[in-house]
Amino acid sequence: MNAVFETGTTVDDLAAAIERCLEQYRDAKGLLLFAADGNAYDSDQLDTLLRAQRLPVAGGLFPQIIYGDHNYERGAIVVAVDHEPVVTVVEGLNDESIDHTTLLGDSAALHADATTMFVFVDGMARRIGALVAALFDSFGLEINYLGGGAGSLSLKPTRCIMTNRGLIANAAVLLSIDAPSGIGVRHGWNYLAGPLKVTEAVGNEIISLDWRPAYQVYREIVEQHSSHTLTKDQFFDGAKSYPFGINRLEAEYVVRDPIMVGPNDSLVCVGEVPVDSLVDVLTGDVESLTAAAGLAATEARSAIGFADPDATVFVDCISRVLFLADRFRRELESVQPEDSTMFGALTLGEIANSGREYLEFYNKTAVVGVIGSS
Amino acid sequence: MNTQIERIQLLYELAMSIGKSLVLDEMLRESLTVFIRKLNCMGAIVLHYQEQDDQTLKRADVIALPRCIATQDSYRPLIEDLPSVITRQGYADLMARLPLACRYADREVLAMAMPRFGVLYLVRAKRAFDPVVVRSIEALVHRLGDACLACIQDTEVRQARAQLEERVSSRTKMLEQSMNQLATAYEDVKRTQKQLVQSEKLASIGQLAAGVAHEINNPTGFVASNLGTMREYVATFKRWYQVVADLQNNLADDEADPVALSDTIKALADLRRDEDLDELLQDTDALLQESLDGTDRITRIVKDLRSFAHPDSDKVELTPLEHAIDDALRLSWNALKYKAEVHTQFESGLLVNCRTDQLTQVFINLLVNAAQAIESNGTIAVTTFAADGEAVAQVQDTGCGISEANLSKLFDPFFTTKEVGTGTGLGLSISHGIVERHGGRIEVSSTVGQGTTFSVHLPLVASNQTEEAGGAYAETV
Repeated sequence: MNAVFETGTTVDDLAAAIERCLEQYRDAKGLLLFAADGNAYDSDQLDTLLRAQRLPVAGGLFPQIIYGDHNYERGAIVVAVDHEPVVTVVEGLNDESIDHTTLLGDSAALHADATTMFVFVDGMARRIGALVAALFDSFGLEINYLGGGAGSLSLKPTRCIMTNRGLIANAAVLLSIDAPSGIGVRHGWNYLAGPLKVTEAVGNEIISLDWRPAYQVYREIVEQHSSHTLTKDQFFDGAKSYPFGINRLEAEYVVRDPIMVGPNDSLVCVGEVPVDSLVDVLTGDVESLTAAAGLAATEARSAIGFADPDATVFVDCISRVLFLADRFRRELESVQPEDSTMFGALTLGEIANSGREYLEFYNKTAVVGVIGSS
Repeated sequence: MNTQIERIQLLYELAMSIGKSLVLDEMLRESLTVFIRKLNCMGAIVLHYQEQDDQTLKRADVIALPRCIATQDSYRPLIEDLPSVITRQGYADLMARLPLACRYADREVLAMAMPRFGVLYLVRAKRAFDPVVVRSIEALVHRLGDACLACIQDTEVRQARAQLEERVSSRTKMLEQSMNQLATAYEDVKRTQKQLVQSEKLASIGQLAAGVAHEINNPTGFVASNLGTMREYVATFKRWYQVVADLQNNLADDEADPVALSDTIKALADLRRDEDLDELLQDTDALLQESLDGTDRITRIVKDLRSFAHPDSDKVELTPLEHAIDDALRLSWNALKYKAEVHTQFESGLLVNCRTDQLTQVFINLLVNAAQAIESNGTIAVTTFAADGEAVAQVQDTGCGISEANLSKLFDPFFTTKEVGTGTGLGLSISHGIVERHGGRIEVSSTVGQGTTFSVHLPLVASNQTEEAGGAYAETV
């Protein structure tokens, strides 16, 4: 895999970068595209460009992109995929009537040889959990999954998934290759308080915890353990340091990020929280988070075994940038490989399975994928 | 956080995931997803053993999560290692050996007993299962097996109920079809009955036609005769008028010949005497009155015939019972008068709800039958009276009577003792039907050689007059 970084913010700049990439890497069989939402591309022009591509394309417009040891609010990365890719586009992610397991089951044979799959999903789609369950059910955990949620940091729904069909919304694009990979997933958030029983929840909205309105319970815990005063108006400023964690055996928590207060003091999270599950309130600091990202990179490199690392793909949560602010650079440095190019995106939620454990849609998590040459 | 507390949390969440649905596949998938997720597994496979006969069990369904795991070659031996048919003892031994952790095809596999259901395999990639965890979840896996059995039992109950409901629904459908067929048949019968009533009515008209024609012919004859006489009378009166006119002219003429005047007066007197003008004048009134009566009779008979012959309307009217009898007597009079003397005794004002034309048909039948039962010089007595809330009309004849054997068949359709071609055999049957539809009944009593009495009982709505009217019927015609 070889990447070309483009600082320009127009569709013409992106087109030129694609051309340059294909010129440089003539054996490219597919393209991964990471573009920053801040480019404010002309959607129709981008549509035309994507549809004109001869090679299979998968990508997204993300809150920020990562190239080398920097994160960028503008620009684009074009990655030449030198393994034969299989691309599947999943549309209608907001449509309750679509059975994605059946849909993906139909295309399972196409991905039969896959060992690594990139998954880019519209981060504002309502049924990401159903997509992840369908991926698990259709393809199992023999594949390494790596990807995350595209979209705008404004959290407004927008067309953000790049495919050969154009720029689309409420959709996901899967690109699988037969190439060795190692995945590391870490976040560095630790236990603060709990457990709390999720007594009522609908999708990504926790209505009550321990039979009381979720926001009231959560605010009491946060204010008891910190100097933060939570208000509904400035909720995320305080809440960004105190995500929820869902417990698993012998593994890190699955983090759920509460991002706003909903009606009747409910809490809206990024990603679904099942009813009857137990959640803890977590906290973290610069050290724990950056150390965790470094550990994810180490685990990814270790997991790939003897294969030669070809590229390092870093999918990190945008909320970690908001939390770490100018210290985010330390996180990038801790992941930055010595022997291969690093590229990736800062996303709205991350999708990965860490070393053949359950496939999850994570929040506030650093996912590192090391892709080996075949 | 304390590992033991974490473990308790996990066990709680695993326990909560069991039995959320009573549909086996749905329940297992939901529960196994939580098991896989919480226990960091790659997948789970459930093998179900079900009873084959008293001695053996057979391997039935395989439920796998993710679905693809069941079709992957690497896992197939795991499933096929277990016998497809096993004795009860063999199954008990197998359960006793579980839980069993082993390394299989580069995976850590934990086989756990679901005692009355089958075996659960949990597959992990990295680490073997901690024996403490295995011991902790063993009871939960048992519980999962029980939940699976509950699902199967529920499915069986639902299937049985569905079969039952289907049978009930199919029977209901058959019943509905039968009901519809019955309703159609009933409509057909009603229509046929209506047609029959009309046919019988027309047959009655046919039978009565000669009599009716006679009844019309009779007044027509004397009205015509009266008119002929009147024409002669008018010619005489014209001559008388001419003489009177001449006399008037002579009297007005001052120069008139007195002798001629005297002759004219004499001629006038002669004419009055010779032609018996005084008597003619008297006779003229009688002739006119008789002719008017005759045309009235014709009008009435035609009106009765027309209303009788008209196809049934569904209009039920509150009618005095004797009206229907009067109509019947008029229409059948010619058939009666040569055979019998008819006496009527009506308790007038017995009001019944009826279709008059239909009741008329009933009484025509009874009257004509009575006449036909009489050889000659008999008596037919028609009476009406109120009894026990009913209006009763009796037609009694002094005819030949009906044998006991025939009495029971009297109202059967097509039963007749008349010669072929003289009766349809439907008259009494239809009359019976008409009276029944009016909420009444017909009773009959008969003595062979003495006569027969038919009694028509109808619900009495009101009796607004109590005075009796009666006499020989001929007087009222």
